[in-house]
Amino acid sequence: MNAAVKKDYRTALYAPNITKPAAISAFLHVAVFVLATVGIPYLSKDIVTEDMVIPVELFDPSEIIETTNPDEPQKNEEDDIAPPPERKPVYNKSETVPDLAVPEEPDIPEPEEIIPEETPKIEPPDPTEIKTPPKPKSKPKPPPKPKVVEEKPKEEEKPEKDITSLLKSLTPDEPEETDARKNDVGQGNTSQQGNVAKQMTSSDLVALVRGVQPCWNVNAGGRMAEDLVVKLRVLVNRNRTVRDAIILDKLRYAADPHYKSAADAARWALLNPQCSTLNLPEEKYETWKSFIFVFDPSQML
Amino acid sequence: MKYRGVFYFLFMIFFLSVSTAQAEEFEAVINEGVFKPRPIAVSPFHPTEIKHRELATDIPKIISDNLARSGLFKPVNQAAFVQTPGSIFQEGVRFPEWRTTGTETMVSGNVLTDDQGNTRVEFRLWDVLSEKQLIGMAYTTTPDNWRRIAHIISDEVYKRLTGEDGYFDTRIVYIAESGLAHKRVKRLAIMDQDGANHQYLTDGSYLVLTPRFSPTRQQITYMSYQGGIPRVYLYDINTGAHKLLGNFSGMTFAPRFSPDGKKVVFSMAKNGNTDIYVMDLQSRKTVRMTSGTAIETAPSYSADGRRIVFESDRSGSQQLYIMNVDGSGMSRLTYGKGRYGNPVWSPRGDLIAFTRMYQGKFYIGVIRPDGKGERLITTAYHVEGPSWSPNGRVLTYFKETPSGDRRIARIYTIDITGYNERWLKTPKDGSDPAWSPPNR
Repeated sequence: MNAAVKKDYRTALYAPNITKPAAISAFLHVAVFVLATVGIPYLSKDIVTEDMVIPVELFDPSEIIETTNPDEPQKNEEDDIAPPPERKPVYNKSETVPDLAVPEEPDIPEPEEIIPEETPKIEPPDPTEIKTPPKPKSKPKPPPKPKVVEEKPKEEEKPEKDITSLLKSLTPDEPEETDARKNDVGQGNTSQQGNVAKQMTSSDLVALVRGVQPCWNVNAGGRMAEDLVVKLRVLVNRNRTVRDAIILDKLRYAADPHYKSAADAARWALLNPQCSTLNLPEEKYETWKSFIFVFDPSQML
Repeated sequence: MKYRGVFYFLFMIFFLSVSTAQAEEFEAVINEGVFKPRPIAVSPFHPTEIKHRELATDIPKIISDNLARSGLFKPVNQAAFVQTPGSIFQEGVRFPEWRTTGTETMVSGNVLTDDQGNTRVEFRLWDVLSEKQLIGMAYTTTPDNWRRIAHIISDEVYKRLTGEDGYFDTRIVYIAESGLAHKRVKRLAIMDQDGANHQYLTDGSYLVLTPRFSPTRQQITYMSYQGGIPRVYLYDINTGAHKLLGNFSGMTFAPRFSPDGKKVVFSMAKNGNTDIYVMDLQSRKTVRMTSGTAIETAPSYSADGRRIVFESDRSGSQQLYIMNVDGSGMSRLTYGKGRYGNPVWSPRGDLIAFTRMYQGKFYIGVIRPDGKGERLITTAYHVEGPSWSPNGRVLTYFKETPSGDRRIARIYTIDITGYNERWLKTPKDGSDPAWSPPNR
């Protein structure tokens, strides 16, 4: 017995069988190399939603009117000289309103009541929000109105203003900086940096970006607006309509109100019925069914 | 053990397949968009009782007007609305139908009476494109305080959609002017930022100039010729009491509060020389900040209270300078042609507004504190006295235009982009406006 044990020990010591561990080791090395090369996988679930294209008309920036205060003219209170009445307080200023979703409920909840969770929706619920009221079961309403009443077709035909002209300046004596800025912007209103897929050509990307431009409304003049670069993962239906646009930096979205505003604007650009059918080559569906859209205003402001 | 290899193999096949899928996900970059007023539908509110009918219409009207006046929003015409307030209250928002109006967001609300007889106003802001609620709040106050609720709701909507604090629940103090050019009557007056609740604070028996709001208290500082001597006074808005800032030997003018409201920086002309001084309002101790023979005036604190911008002719022409609050580290800010004056540091800290006189014309402009990015955003025969909204997004100032043998003075507001200039109507001529801090 002892001799057998010793023999086995010697065999293992002097002639070890390393074929299997070596194969596993090699396999793992290859796996690590492949992972390092192509990255962590993205697992997304396809959410089937109803595709809907609703035509609406865009607002023209030239319609920013310069009018007087719309309020009624003030009374001439020439003889009324006194300290103005002290401003009255507004109570429960930060109170969140109760749920609207159950209108037949007679009692309005107490102010202290915590808001109920949002009703089941496609998107993950936000604990700070109130659930969306249920949609009506029947559709008794007349067909949707085709356009906003106050819009003037003549003005709609005007080309969109270049964002670079938004920060108005009457300065006559600073040509260098202005020219430099113009050149910067002029070098390309689209750029395809990063991982450009083999199947998507430059012209494909230019067409895609140009189609969304009219719907991306940037908050020019906003605080640090030029730094608010937003990345979205865009999920696209086969008919090229945007199924969803997911904001990737959720932490910043929750913490930074400026970023939140910029991210919403980016998302609305893709969900706007005017732009939500993307300019994409139909034959490359597998390539564009999910992609990353970066909204970068740094060159505009 | 013998299946381990198979397991690894399958695992790697799976990993490679999904990794390849990810590798195919391309990235598109958009770096040009548009800037236009965002469409927003402000629905009339739902009155739960007949007595609330008026408020249910008036409050949304004020909200809509506030948002439109900012230039960042364009309220959708009510004729295009697809639901009544009652329908929204009972059925909820029918998002697909609202999308046909071209709107991105929508405001709805209710007005009711609580157990104590106070008016309770609830509102919600909806994301029409994403079909979700963005905010929902309720406010309770006395029925006659409804305008303020409308302004506070406007602030909430503005903040959620722009990321910046609103400025609608604020007031503007200004100089109301009347009479002939050689016998001008100038009175201190105050009003809401939309021109409502107008009130005179002085009777016009003496001249008042350059009013400025305290950032922390219901207090205004201004210059007055009361008793024939120009001096800086403090005015308590709640009590109406005037108080002399200090009994100085020289003429004092151009006062402005520090951001914490504890100090007032001002100019004093003494022995033919004008310099900048700071007074601690508690100890009443005054410290001289500048020296030399140059005229140095119009000081304004930075938002963090660490620096002061002012105008000086020390270089031979009137230009803007910045110094630390202890008077050290003085540096020149502007180098343009003409004369620069009246600098005001933005509450946001990123810009300094100023007046510029060049080739016989007046301009209002903005410049970054590092001296770059100067932009002149409005011009007139005479334009003067810029003052920032508390969120640093809007400027108010006054313009004078000749009209026969007199001049017409009017107060205006403008977005810092240089667009959306609007006349803020006042009962009489108005000049030297100064914006209050928020919720004042």
